[in-house]
Amino acid sequence: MPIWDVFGKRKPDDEFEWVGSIKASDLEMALVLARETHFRHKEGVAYAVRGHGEQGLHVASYGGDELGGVTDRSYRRQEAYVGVGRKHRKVSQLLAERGLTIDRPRPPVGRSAATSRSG
Amino acid sequence: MNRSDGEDPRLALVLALADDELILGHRHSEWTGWAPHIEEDLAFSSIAQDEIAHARLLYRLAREAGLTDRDEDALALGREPHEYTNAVLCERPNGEWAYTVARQYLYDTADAVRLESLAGSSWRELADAVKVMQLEEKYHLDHARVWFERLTGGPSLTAREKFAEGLARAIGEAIELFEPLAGEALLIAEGVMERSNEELLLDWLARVGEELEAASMDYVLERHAAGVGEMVPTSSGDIAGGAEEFSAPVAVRRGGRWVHEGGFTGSGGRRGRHSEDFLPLWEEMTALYRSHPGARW
Repeated sequence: MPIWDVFGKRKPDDEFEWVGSIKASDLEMALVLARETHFRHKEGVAYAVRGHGEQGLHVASYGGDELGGVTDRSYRRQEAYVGVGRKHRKVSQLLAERGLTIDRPRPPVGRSAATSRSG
Repeated sequence: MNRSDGEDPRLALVLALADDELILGHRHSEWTGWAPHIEEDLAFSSIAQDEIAHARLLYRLAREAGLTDRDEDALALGREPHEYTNAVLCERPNGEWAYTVARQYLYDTADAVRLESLAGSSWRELADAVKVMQLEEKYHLDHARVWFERLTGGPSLTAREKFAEGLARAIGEAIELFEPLAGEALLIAEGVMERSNEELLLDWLARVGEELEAASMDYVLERHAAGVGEMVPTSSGDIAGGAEEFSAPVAVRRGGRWVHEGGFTGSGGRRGRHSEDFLPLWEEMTALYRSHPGARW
C-alpha cells in the first residue's frame, strides 16, 4: 500500500508542516485516514497529504473546528486522568476493609511504558 | 405535549436516535484493535466514539427537557433490554469487515437523511444538538463512501461480492430504521419532526437506490425484496402484547426509482423488540454499571 506524507497547520496562519506518514490505497482514502491518525487530539486546524514523488499538497476539506471532535473528548487527554493515584489508594483501602485483594500483580517498578495505542 | 398514555412523544424520538447511536457505536468499538490496518483502526474507533458521544448529547437533552428523571449513565447503561429502542440493524454482530462497512454506509446515509430533517425541528435544543452531530456525521459518510467505492469498484471481485452480501443482509433491517414512532403524528403536528418516517424512508431509498445503481449493485435491493419480513422475537425483547409477527416494507423499483412497498406491522426495535443478538451485547455493555450502580470515575 502506498505511503502518504501528512502535513498539518496548528493555527490558520501557519504554514503546513510535516507531522508523519500513513499508508492508504489512494488519495481519497489517505485524506479520510490521515484525519484520525494525526489530528484526533486537536493537533491542528487544517491538514493535507502528499504522495511519494508529488510536488503539491492535497488539502482536506474539513473545517478546523471539526478536527479532534466537536463533543467532549477529554478522555483522550491525560488531564482527564488526574488523581489516579489517589483513587487507586482509596480503592485499595476499600478493598482492604472488605478483606478483598486483586490477585493480578502490579507491573514491576521501572518497566517502560506500555506500547499500546492511545484511544 | 403528551400522547393519550400521558408520555411526551419527544422521549420516544430522542431515545430512538440515541439508542441507535449508542448500540451501533458499541458494535463499531468492537473493531478497535482488529480493523484491517492501523490507520483504519484509528478512524473507525473515532467514529465509534463519535456515535457514543452523540448518544450522550441526546440522553442529556432528554433529561434537561424534563422528559425523564434518569441521567445519561442511567439511560445508556441502566435500562432493561426491552427499554432500548434502537433498530435491530444496530445490534447485529460485526461479522466481516464487508458487512460492517455495508451497514455503516446504509446507516449513515439514513442518519444523514433524518438529521437533515431534524435540523429544522421546532424543538430548538434538538435542532442545535443535531447540528453538532452533523459536523461529525459528514466524516462518517465520507468514510463509508470511500469504502463503498473501493469495495464496489476496486480490482477485487471477492471484495465486491462480500460487500454485496453485506448489503443484502443489512438492507432489510436498514429499512426498519424508519419504523414509525409512538406519537409520531403529534410530533409532526408540533413541528418537532418536519417529516414522517415514511417520507424519510422514501428519501433514503431513492438516495441509496441511485448510488447502488451507479455502482451496478442495485440487484442487492431486488434480492432483498424477495426474502425479508421475518423477525425472531426473543426473551430479550419481549414486550407487552406478546409475540406478534413483525414485518417492514420492502424496496421495489417503480417508475424509474426505488420506493417501498408494504407497511410496518407489529412492533420492532422502536418498541423495544430485539433480535437474539441484543442480549449478549447488553450484558457486556452494562456489566459494570449493573454490578456498581451509580459508581463514578
